[in-house]
Amino acid sequence: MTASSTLGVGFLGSGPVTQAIHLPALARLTDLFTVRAVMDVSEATADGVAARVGARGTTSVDEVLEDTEVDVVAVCSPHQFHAEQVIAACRAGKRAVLCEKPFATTSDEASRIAQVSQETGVPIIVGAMHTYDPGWVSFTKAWGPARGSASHIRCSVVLPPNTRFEDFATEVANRQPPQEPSPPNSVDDRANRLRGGILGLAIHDLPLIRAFLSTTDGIVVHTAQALNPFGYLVVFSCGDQVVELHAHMSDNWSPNWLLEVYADDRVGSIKFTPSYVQAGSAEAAISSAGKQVHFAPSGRNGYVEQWQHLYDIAHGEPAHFSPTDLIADLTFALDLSAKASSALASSPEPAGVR
Amino acid sequence: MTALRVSAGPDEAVAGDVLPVIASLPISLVAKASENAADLFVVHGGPDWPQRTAECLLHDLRGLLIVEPTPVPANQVPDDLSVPVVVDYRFAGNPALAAAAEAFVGWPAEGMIEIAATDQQESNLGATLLDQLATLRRVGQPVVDLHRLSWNGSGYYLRASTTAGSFVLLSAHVTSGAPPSLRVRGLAANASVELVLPDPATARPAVLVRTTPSGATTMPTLWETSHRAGWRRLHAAVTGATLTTDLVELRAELTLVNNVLPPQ
Repeated sequence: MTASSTLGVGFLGSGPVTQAIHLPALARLTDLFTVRAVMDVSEATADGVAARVGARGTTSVDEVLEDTEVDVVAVCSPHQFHAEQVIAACRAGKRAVLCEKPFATTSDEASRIAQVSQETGVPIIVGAMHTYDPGWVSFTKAWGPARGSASHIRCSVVLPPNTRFEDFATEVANRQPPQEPSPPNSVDDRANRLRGGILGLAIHDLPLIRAFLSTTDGIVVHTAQALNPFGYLVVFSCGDQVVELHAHMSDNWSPNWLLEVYADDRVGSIKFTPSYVQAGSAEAAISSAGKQVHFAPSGRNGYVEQWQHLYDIAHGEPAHFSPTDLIADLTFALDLSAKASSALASSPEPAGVR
Repeated sequence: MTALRVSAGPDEAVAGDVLPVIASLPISLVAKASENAADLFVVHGGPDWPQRTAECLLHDLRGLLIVEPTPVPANQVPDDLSVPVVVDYRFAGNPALAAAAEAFVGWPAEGMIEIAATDQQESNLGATLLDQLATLRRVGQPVVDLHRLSWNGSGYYLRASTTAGSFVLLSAHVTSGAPPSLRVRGLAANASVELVLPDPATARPAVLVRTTPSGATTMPTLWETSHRAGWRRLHAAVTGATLTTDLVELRAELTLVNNVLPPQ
């Protein structure tokens, strides 16, 4: 614990997610956290981002983990480093770890993380902000037992490029130049884009979707497409339940991030704000015969709530999600992405998707 | 102008809101109790609608309206097109479709289109799918290559492509939790179009929005049900002595639908 009553935070990776998501969220929780160290492979980025919050910049992971003023670690590095860094943070005796999604790239890695977390007693949470969003939390309380309760689940994400929203949240330093969208040049390219879309974007909502599924065994992918300029469309079944995922990123200015749940007697909807922006929580509604219950947005969004939860579990409160939950969420995402990309690669290219 | 006389039996009068619609067009239409000397006939779109249609065409009628047809073998659709025949769909008849068709002009093959219905009865699914195909046709995006992805008592998912090449996802969701509705949404690199068609039980207007990088345009509201718009179209065809192509188009769409209906 740092000298003050706040927890000291160390960041591993200080790209747009750290700059535009976590630092603005922490600016709303200055009574709970103080950023102490910011690491990045780019010295200029590390120093520049650290200077914004009065922290130390470094290019060394070890330096952050050995820093006694750092109580909790936020892993915001590229995906392939997540498992190694989360494990290292646990072994360094930190009080809690927040890892951006996905927290591992294989189920084996996830199991190793869970094992180390159990051995060291260091709790881990995954930065799946929608699972902490007050709109979602209110929705699930009102809906009641979710597992198996829906026949169809639909998640539609329509977003302009991320930079639009990063710029509403902060002034991003040392941003990588945007890549010009290019049409996929092979079936493998399309399959890779689809896999990237599921693990990079759909993964925000897969834990929410999994909450409604009776089982995630035996995923059957009915259709899987990579959309232009960037996006995906996947329809799959788990038992009798059917899930539709689609995302479309384009120059269209109007964002729309909607999760819909259809049951025999109810329809639920949760409308999320775009990532990055500090625009409060999702709005949710549940309609049943002749009645609609609306959950007005809260002023706190999922990012703020996940940091609040990190603070709570660092002080001994129980975690909302067990390591078993986190592994199951990841396994579901990996299984779906593998089956969807395989289905895309083995099916004839439909008209219009090229 | 002399009002055309409409003959509708009890079933037909209920299914298409016939009497309230006729009451809302008092200069154009008048209800008539018997089939004798009626100008216009109504056929409910239950499983025997082709036979009922053929029977009606034996009368000396001037026009025919078929309300919400359910799937039948395409070869049962009558060939007799001597009088105007209008197919009255719950959603595809909505007058907002004309503006939606303009919004979809030039829709790129790379774009996708989704069309999702919420329905309250599983038994309506076949008719709902016909309605969706007619809706897509009327917004200028007729489909080919229809494939079933899943279909059960809770609804269905199908995929298709438009004749222009856009990917289409069709779905229907059976629930008592929301009133019937149909949403059509096109997503492309530089534009989107969203059309939400309400339950035709009331004249609640459709909502049509076209969005581009520079903003969004909401089209004017039209407070008219699909059924009323269908009757106006039939009246215009009869009095204008023009024939309609509804049955020809329905026959083509039945061919597509019958290939994807699940085994009974």
